[in-house]
Amino acid sequence: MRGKISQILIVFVVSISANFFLPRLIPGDPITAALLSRTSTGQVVTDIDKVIAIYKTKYGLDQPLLVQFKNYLVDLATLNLGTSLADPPQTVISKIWDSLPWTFGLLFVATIVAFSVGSLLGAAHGWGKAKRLTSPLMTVLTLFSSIPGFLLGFLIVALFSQKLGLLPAAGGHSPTLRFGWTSTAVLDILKHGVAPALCIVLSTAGFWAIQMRSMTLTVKQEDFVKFAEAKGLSESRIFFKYGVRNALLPQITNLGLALSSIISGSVLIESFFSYPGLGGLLRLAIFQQDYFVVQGIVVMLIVSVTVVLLVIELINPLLDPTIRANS
Amino acid sequence: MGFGLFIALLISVYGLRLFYDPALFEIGSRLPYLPPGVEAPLGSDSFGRDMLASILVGTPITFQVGLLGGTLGLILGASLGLIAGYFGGKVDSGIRTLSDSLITIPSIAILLIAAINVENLSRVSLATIIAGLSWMYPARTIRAQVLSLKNREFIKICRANGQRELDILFKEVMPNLMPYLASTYVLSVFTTMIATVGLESLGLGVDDDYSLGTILYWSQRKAAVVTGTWWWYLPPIIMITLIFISILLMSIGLDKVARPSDSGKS
Repeated sequence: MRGKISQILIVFVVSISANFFLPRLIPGDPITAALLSRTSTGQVVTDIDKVIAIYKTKYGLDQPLLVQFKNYLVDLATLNLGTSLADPPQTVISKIWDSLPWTFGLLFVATIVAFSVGSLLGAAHGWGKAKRLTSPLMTVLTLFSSIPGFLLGFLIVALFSQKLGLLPAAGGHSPTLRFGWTSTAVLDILKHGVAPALCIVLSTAGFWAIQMRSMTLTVKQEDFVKFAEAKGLSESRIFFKYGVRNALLPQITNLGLALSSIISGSVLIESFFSYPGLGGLLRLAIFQQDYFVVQGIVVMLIVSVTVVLLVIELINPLLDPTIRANS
Repeated sequence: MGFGLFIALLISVYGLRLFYDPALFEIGSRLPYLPPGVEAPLGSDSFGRDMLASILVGTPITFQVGLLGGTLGLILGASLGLIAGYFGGKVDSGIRTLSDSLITIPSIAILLIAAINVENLSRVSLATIIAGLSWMYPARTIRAQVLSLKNREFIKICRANGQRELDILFKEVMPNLMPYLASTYVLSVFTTMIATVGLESLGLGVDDDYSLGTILYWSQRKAAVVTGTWWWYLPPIIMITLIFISILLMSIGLDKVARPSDSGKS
């Protein structure tokens, strides 16, 4: 387990350094480009050369690479990710800080729903008792999981917001909403979350179902299941206590492996719905060519993946007695 | 079945290009917001682009990037997998650390860094970047296969005969990997296409290319869903879905050829 954790930390260091070195390997100067294109889109920026010079000295771009790298690491450690180019007084970190709760809320709920629905369906299908009910569902979910989630967004919005008028088409809350723990506020936020959450669930549940199905097929062959059957335990008890429980453990490890693709997908889904989380912020930042915000989001993605992987690594032994015994 | 669908898609796109003028995808070739009808079979968007022509132009571009990226990814992944599996030791663990790191980082993060920093992104460079992020899966599969092949009798005989290592690798090991190469190739085309369409729908695709993802980007920017212009976003979605389903079916089919013993289990 210690090896695993140190590997995760190595990955963290490598990717954080890649985030610094990759843009600098590519010729061109993003800050100049971003500021110049700002003027070309009609925004009035007086003394553009001076502004560029100020930015360059501020970010130390005239210093040697290693000094820049050191500054970058110090900035990261102190969470100083720069100032937004689009609305200057606001810092990047405050923008990200505002959007994090939205992303975590959405992703957490959606992933848990997708995980439970997919795993249960996969287990039931693998167990093979109600095939007539489970196999069409499996086919549908597998098909959905083969297309990118944000494409489903178009269809969901067209159906639920345009045709039926049930759900809002975009955003994370009504523009006039007053935040607070009132029932209207909570309902409003929940209502806005349904469509993007549905997208994430539909596009990922199939993955869990497929994994769970093959695990259940393996568990079903085990002797202890046959023994339980021989003892005359009830079918549902064998299914839940013996089948699901044992097939579920590897799924937690799978969560770690799938995490990066789930996050990639949900960033696109959020961005489609202009959800106020990281994805929506990202979309806005790309529109406004807000270079530092984009880079800040990338750092945030790397940090959150690392944290979640560490958490999974730490709780895994608590859930699985065999891992606990080995370590 | 996957192959059939795939070839049918290709034929219909390229065939229709003979009868329908693809140049109509230019801005202003139709009146804006034309619903589907006799004049324009799939209507037009808010810029007056003919939608059928857009699809006919966009689909091959999406294909090209997908095939190019998939090919590069497979070549990179397969060679690294071969080397890692065959030589083992430090080389193997080095390659494995690299691939594990790349699997852990959300690929969208690296794609974003690349896309906002490269000016004048071309199709080739886009495909190369994506290939650099997707070689890990072919590498894993190939490595596992090489490990199991390495100690078979016929390889040992070659080695006893004094054949050169590289010779053995490419003349003896490689041909046995062909079915696996085919099925991982299809998958890496698949991942490349997902990544490209995602990036394009954020407006970060290849400059001046009008691919399926770009159509979606503009339909999103102009709020096509809210204004009810379904003929703007539905055709590209259907097209992408059909492509993905055909690729998925192909990979399932190839998988059954590659590992007949496993097909019952998985």
